[in-house]
Amino acid sequence: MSGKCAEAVILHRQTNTIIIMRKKILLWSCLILLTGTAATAQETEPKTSWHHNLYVELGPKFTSHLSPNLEPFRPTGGWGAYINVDSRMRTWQGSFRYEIVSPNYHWALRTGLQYGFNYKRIGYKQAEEVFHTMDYVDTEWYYFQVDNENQLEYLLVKGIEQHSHYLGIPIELRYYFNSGLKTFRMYLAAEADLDFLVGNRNKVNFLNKDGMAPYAGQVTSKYANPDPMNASTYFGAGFQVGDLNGIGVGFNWLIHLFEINGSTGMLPTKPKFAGSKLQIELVIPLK
Amino acid sequence: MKKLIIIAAALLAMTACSKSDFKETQYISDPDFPGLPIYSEMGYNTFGSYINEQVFSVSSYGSNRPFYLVADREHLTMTLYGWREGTNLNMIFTLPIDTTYHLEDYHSLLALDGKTFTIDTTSTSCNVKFEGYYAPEIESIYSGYIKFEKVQQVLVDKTDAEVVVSGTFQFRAFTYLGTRIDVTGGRFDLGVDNANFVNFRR
Repeated sequence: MSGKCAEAVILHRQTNTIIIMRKKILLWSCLILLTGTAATAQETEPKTSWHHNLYVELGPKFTSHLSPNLEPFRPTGGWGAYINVDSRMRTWQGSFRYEIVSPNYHWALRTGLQYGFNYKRIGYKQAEEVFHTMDYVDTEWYYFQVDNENQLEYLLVKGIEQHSHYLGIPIELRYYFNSGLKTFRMYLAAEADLDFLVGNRNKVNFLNKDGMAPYAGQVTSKYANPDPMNASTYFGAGFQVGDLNGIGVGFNWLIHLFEINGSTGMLPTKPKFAGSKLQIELVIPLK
Repeated sequence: MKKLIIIAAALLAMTACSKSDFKETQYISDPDFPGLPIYSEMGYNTFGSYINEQVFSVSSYGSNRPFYLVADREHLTMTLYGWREGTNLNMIFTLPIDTTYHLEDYHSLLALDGKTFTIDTTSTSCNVKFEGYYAPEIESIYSGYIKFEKVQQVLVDKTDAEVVVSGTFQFRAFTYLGTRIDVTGGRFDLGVDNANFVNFRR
């Protein structure tokens, strides 16, 4: 009797062990299944939800301009005299932009707030000038004719500058080509900028600085101030490097297509294909 | 003799004048009149004309301001030191000046603004002669004029710098040999100050 009981106990324990094992297998299976389902859901999520990115951008804008009004400058050079005047324009733009990207990561719309600093100068042509320096050669100056009804009047001028500050709203449409590649993405872009003039300062560098400042207006009155609003369109391309879900960097090159409205002031820009702008961008995914 | 000494002194002053490019000749060619400077009223220190279709013009060599003005009690003499066919040729205008002009110093030239003088051989009119190698000797002047289109004071940085005398001239003359001389397209744009203006009246 005792032997039969012992066998029954052993059989019961084996049965329990099998049941426990089955439960464990079932539990693990459920866990694996749940994990798999979750993983599948995570993979398909980008195809059903929009992406949101924040950008910090900075870069120069290279602008070709038309010849400014040089009539007030007295020619120099003696025999075969001509007006030996140089003019240049430089612009820096920085912006914060928000981007919303389609679920398949092809189409994107970007907008934000853009600050632009526009520097214009009419000054002496300096062969020895280093590209990055904006200094004048102290020994060079012009006879600049100013308005005077009864007399021929000149002021000795080394250069004329115009510093303009803009706040603008850029609107950009992008098409990303290789969205499947997470670390390198190329795109085409079309952008329209609406820039509002928030500050402008005209500056005259006189040869004789003492006491001449009150007459700066006589010089700057020969040149236009920038319009309060300036709008232009661009088309270009660029690329981004970085994981879709991590911080990335990009390089953006946009060619100026045409001006919609507005003048940049002292140096009039070409209405079409006036140059291009380069932007380095930092991409910060919002989620 | 005294006149010659003063003229020589004036010429010396011209050659020794400031290095400021305001006293330099700023020569800009006139595309409509080949060989001549453009007509200007800016004090470019240029002049020129055609003499029987030969170019008479300010030289590309020599000193700044190759001209001077001399006033006496009755006349204002304006001498232009130019070149024709590679040789020096001076064109000298002598204008009758009455006391109403009061040519005390170069500022007095402002009174000539807009004035036109007839050029002929009568004593009351402006007279012209040439000097230099191969200079034609004028026997009579048939007709012509010199007009001071614009005479204006120049200010540089709000201070007096000079007076710019600019205008046009043309005339027809005959030499003793009966050769006709047609001077056409004449123009001048001269910066005048104490360095090239002499007054014998004082």
